[in-house]
Amino acid sequence: MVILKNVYKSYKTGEVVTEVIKGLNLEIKQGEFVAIIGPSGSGKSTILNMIGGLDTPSKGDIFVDNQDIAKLSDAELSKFRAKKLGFIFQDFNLIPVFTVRENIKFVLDVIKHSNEDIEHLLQEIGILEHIDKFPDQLSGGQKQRVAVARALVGKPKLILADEPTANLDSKSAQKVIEIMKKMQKEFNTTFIFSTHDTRLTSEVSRILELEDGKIVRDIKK
Amino acid sequence: MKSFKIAYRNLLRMKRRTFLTASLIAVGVVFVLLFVSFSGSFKNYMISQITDSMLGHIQIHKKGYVSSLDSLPLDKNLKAKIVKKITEKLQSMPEVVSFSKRLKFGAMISNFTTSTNVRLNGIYPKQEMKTLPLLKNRIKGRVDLKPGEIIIPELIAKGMKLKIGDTVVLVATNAKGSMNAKTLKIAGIVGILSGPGGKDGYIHIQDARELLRADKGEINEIIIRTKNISQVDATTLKLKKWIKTIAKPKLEVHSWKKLTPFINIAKMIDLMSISIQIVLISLVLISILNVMIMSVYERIKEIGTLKAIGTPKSFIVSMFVNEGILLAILGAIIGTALTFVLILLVGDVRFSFGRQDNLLLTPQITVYDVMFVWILVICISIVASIYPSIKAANLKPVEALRS
Ligand SMILES: Nc1ncnc2c1ncn2[C@@H]1O[C@H](COP(=O)(O)OP(=O)(O)OP(=O)(O)O)[C@@H](O)[C@H]1O
Ligand SMILES: [Mg+2]
Repeated sequence: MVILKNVYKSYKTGEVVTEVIKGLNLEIKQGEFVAIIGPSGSGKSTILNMIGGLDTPSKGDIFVDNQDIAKLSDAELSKFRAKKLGFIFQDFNLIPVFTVRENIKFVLDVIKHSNEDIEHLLQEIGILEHIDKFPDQLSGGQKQRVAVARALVGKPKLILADEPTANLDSKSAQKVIEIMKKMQKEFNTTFIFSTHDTRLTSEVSRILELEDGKIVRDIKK
Repeated sequence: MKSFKIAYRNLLRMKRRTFLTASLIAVGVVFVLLFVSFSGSFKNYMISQITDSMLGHIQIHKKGYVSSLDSLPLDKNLKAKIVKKITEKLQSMPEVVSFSKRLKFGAMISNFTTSTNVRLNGIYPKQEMKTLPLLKNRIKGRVDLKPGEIIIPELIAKGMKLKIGDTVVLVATNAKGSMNAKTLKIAGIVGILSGPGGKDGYIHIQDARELLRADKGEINEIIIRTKNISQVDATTLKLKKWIKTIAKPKLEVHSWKKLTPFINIAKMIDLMSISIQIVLISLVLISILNVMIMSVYERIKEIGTLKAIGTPKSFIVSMFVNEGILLAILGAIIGTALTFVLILLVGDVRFSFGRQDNLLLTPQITVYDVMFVWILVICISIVASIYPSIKAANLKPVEALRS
């Protein structure tokens, strides 16, 4: 599903070039539930962004669903993301002027699907009662569940979540991970998420431990 | 249409900012509409006064007459033969509603104790009234001038303490230098109008010819009324072409625009109107640009999210452009409503222009004026919001999300 071949990423700040990802090789299969852990600044977000086509590697190739994403134009990449990927962000990033229903419906409009059952999905995720509320009327945990629903509704093959639980208390965090796990089982979606919280890794099928731009441990359960 | 939803909900979310910006645009709209309505009706009023009660739409003279009009020369008169030719031509032109022949001259007017100079038009009263439909409004007393009668200008009536029914003596020198006098009864008093001809009196053409010992059919001015004042330029051109075919005497044709200095005032009004529109354009441009840049800046993260979801650029552009358009429309609505209220409150305005007092101005706004301002405001709002919108659509998703 996801293949990284000898991926490097460096940032240039003025004259100083910092190498953030240093020769990463990685393969993630369809349906895997992967956690990327590692200290702050180790490059977790950078990797997720590159896989999602939001950022480009300095060197190396990234294949997502057999597509070399470096070969896609801006517009193609947009379409690719809309069709195949879902994103969940640390701070939810819901559209504030849209209700829960509209936030989810929006994704369907972008991919021109209209017949998905939003209510059923929200029911499963446990926030159906909030369907007509605006994001600022929800708690953090509820918002993140909406974000999970938004990422899932288009039935993407891959969902990337950058610290989806960092802004949640541990109970809500546990709940969000449970939902992600449940959805992964139901739709065989590939999940890759980053986290600081090692307590959340009990559910996962694979843990990648990152340190200083390199994978130092790759634990498959 | 989702982009409209986002746009208007964002405007609702930022109520205070939306209101302030829309108010600013509204002020601009009010200025333009008020100016257009007042200056427009002033211009039309003045033009119709000048053309419908004094100059007519077009005038024909012997070449050189207009440039020496101040001295009211009598050596540039048109003889009966050529007048007949012109008359036939004018009668054959469907766009000419009516025309009137005049014999203009300068004379001394006396009330037996004092005397002063007066400019006079010897006229065919029926033709004159038909060609100048508003002339009768300027005249107090009788308008159907008969031989032996005179309509004197208001200034002279005041200065010489003359009233309707009084008798005056006119003394004039003819083209050959011999003097002649005639006693006339005052039939009416004509009000003053700005510009040349605005202080002229009127006598019957017969009296004028007798006084000047002029030939039968001799005149020096023909004034013409066209069906519609907008046809003036075309008709003038047509007459000019026709006149070239006449070898002798050489004639000249002028539209009213060439005969009154008011045309400069009218041009100045147009220029001011354009300036005020430019102010409106800048106002809309700057306020919308400012708001849209702010709006994009505040919502960078939202834009990053939209890009991550795979939203096409065009959607992001239209989302912000729609916000700009809605803001402009809101401003235009408030501005237009405010203008109508103001006009209703102010109502008709009385004003003076030059020596004319108590002129009545009825401000009017046409659908075209409103449409013009709306289209202008909307176009400018698109121009103003397109730059920030494109900037937003081209944001790099990582950078947008990191902010
Ligand atoms: N745009 C950038 N310019 C310069 N350096 C950057 C940029 N983005 C990231 N970095 C650097 O790259 C390194 C990795 O950043 P990244 O955000 O991937 O870390 P992370 O593992 O997600 O950290 P955290 O757990 O704090 O989110 C950090 O040292 C960061 O300073
Ligand atoms: Mg991070």
